[in-house]
Amino acid sequence: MNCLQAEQLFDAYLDGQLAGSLRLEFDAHRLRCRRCQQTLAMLESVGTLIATDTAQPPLPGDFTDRVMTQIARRAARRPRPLRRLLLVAGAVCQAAAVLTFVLYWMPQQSNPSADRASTAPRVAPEYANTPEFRAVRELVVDRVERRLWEVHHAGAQLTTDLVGLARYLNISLPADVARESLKMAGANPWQALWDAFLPRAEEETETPPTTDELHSI
Amino acid sequence: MPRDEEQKLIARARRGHADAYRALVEAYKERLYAFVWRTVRHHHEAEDICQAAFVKAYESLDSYSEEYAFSTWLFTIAYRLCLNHVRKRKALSGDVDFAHVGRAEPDAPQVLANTEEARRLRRTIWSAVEQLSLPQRSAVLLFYREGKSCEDIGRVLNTPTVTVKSHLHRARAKLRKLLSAELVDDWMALQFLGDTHSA
Repeated sequence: MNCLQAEQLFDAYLDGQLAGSLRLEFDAHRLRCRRCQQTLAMLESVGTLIATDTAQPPLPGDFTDRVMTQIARRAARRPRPLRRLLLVAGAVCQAAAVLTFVLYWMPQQSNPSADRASTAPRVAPEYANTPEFRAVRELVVDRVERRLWEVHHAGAQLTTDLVGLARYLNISLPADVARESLKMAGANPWQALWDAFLPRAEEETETPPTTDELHSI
Repeated sequence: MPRDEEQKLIARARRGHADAYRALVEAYKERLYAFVWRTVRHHHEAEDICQAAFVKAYESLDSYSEEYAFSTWLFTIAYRLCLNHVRKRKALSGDVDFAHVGRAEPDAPQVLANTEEARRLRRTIWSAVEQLSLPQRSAVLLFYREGKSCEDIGRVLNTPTVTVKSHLHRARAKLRKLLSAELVDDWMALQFLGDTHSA
């Protein structure tokens, strides 16, 4: 074995993985080769120094306490499973409440019949009793009523604004539209939220007969 | 610490017993700190990394597998934190900061060396070790200081065993190159001192 061959076995020798006849051959070379002895001595010295030298600055005495304090602090900040579940459930309820508010309560608020009652320009009593005002009012009512029934007969859905306007003008609404409109106006957002989470079996509600049905009777 | 005792402590720590985890921290803090300090070469940064590693280990105890040694798992966490730290430092300075290389900490105890010459050689060796790349240096530290097998080092560095062997081979080649200028007699003397210290 020459130096080049021995050098290729340095790693295996230093890792303690050189055995058998190869180890014997390597040892034989090492004993007679001063250069390889020096190199191996250097590498072994490095290994010994790394393994044994404790020349690092010491850890502060309260290191463990600091670790444990940080662990406790972080654990206190981190939500526990039950707390986390409650937080999630709370967030879901909140989102559902907001959704219900938007879907049910807002249309009711924007109901023109309610809005206009408060925001429509007030007509001075002396002018409201004039024949000109009554004529204009009748004309408007007639136009709106005709348009409303046209839309309804065409099978199109009446907008909330149109229904609100009709209510404001005391125009009789188609029975199904009136029912739907009343249902919207009287919807309880909390009941809707409750229904969304705990759906009930379909209740058999007795609906009042429509005008057409009464006529047929 | 015996393996079964360690596993009992881990099991108790998992159930939330702080005293069990405290015992684990006490058992491993010096070894972990020595490794981290040699990797980042800064006292306060090494301390912070060790603290973060212990906290992270506690919070991830459920993911620890008894198949491996606790120390291997702990060193894996610490090594990743070191990597992140070195990357951040590199990003800040534009390059790896070798300003610390060869500079002894003012409060470093002089335990090993008995003579001025041995102290000089000790500094020279550590200076050479610190010029190794981070994976090479970590492999060398884990191999010699922690006595970890190449398989375990592979787990810590998240690399195959073959790559670990390659790191060790390249590290030794580089150390040989860096230290070959030193006199042979010095090596013999240091080896003698090292053996004396370990005995």
